[in-house]
Amino acid sequence: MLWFKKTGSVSSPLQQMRAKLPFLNELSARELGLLESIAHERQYMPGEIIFDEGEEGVGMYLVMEGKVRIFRKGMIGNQHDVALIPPGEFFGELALLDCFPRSASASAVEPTLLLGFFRPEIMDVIQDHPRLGMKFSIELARHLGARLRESTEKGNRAAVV
Amino acid sequence: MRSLGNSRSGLDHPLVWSCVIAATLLALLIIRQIWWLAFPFVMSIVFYYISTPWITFFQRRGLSKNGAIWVFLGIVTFLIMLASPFVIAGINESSEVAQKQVPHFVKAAQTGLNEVLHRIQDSNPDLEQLQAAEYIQAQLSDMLGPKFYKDILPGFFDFVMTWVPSFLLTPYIAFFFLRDGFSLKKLVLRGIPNAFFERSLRLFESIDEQLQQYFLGMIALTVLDSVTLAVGLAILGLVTGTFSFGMSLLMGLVCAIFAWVPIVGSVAGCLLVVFVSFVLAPANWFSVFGAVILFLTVRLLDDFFYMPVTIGRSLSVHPLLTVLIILAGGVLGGVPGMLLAMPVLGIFMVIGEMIGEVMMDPRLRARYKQAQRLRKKEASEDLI
Repeated sequence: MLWFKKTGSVSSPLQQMRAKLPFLNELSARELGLLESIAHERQYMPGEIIFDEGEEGVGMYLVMEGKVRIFRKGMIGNQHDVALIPPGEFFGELALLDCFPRSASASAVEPTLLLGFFRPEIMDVIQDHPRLGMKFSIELARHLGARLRESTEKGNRAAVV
Repeated sequence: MRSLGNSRSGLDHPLVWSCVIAATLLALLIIRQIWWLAFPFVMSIVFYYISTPWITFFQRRGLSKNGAIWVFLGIVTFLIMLASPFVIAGINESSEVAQKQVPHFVKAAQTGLNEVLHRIQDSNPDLEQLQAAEYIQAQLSDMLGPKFYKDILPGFFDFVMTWVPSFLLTPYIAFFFLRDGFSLKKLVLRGIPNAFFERSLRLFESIDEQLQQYFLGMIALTVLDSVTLAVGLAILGLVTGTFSFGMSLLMGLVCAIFAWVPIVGSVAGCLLVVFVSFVLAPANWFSVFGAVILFLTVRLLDDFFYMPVTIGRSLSVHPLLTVLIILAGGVLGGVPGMLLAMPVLGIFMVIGEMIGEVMMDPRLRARYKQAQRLRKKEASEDLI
């Protein structure tokens, strides 16, 4: 049952994301529903802060619409961009693995719709539904691997230049 | 009720504390009007936290959430049905025993009290002049005599009959808490501004965990208290033919439940134990003092051994505030207000802690104001 909400046949936000996020195609309808049930939908205005560098992270976000800027504060208070996250991509996923402070800040570049997935709820789903948990963990590892490769390549290029 | 947590940074601000106390008093005033809903509501929150680990247990064995809830409720219903014949037989037996023994207990209590009062009166000439013992005895005889059967007993049954339907609401509300609790949490979180969202979510999780540990700990503590008290009474030699071990266990349970209400509950529990030991062995002062020492021992065991093991936290509500809130609960909400005073204070402390922690953070407030400015700007962009 949903609280004060009509149920209907409108496709869910995660179903709409299937084309952009191939991992979602590997999930059954039930598994997709489970992920959907723990997702928190949030809307941000352009320029609005999503989280601050140094804050304790509690989970990761999936960009549904809009764009997110990831940036760090420099020594003299200036900001330098780290990444621009388009729709269909995750950010803040390190917070799922540990309780360390966020390594960068995030803000919305344009009107942005995000789906938030948070550590305690994700951990519950992983424990309660091992098949979905395994698929999710592999996707997370794949995603982190890609990020690592990307930053290594950037570092190599910088060294060559 | 014992308090819930230890360090509450959100509650450090005096304004937050004042609001928590004001909200508690207001809620207690309202509870008087809707106690029939407030009581099952609080009970179902307790039931929710006690049953959640079982639901998770079944879910981790492959059942869906709804399936796990139904299996759990099925098992609980089955166990209740299985236990019912024994409980009903026990109640029948106890009522027969009570019918035979209650007049004897009342008579023994009156005789014992009379003896004590006369001893005190004999040693004090002023009291003898006032004939205090005769006066108290006459009042007691009147209260325990026809007045008891005519007014107090039917009143008690009326009270029980009014409360039973209210208690039946508990499993119904608890079922929906179990099934739709997460959707409710999401609904509440949806209303929280973006700036405070992550912090609130973290607090929600930690409070949820604390509450679960607290209620499960309370159940374990109640069982431990009941058994210790029953065994203690048996050691004191008070468990005899008329007062079986089962009855002493029941009395231990009643005292342990009384102890949920701090200070007042403990005093009531102690009086009950002393009264029973006095009635069972009127001439034996060793039993009466033994009962007092037993009760104090149980309380000490409770504070220094059982509570750290089960609940694992020290009290964080000041004893003076505890007493004042319970008394205010009594004045504002009668007996239900007194019983619900601490749980209601606990709920408002949790809310106060959350609001206090997020609202008192200057960075979060600044982010909230920035978001408001951005929204206002967007909404009024095309307006002249």
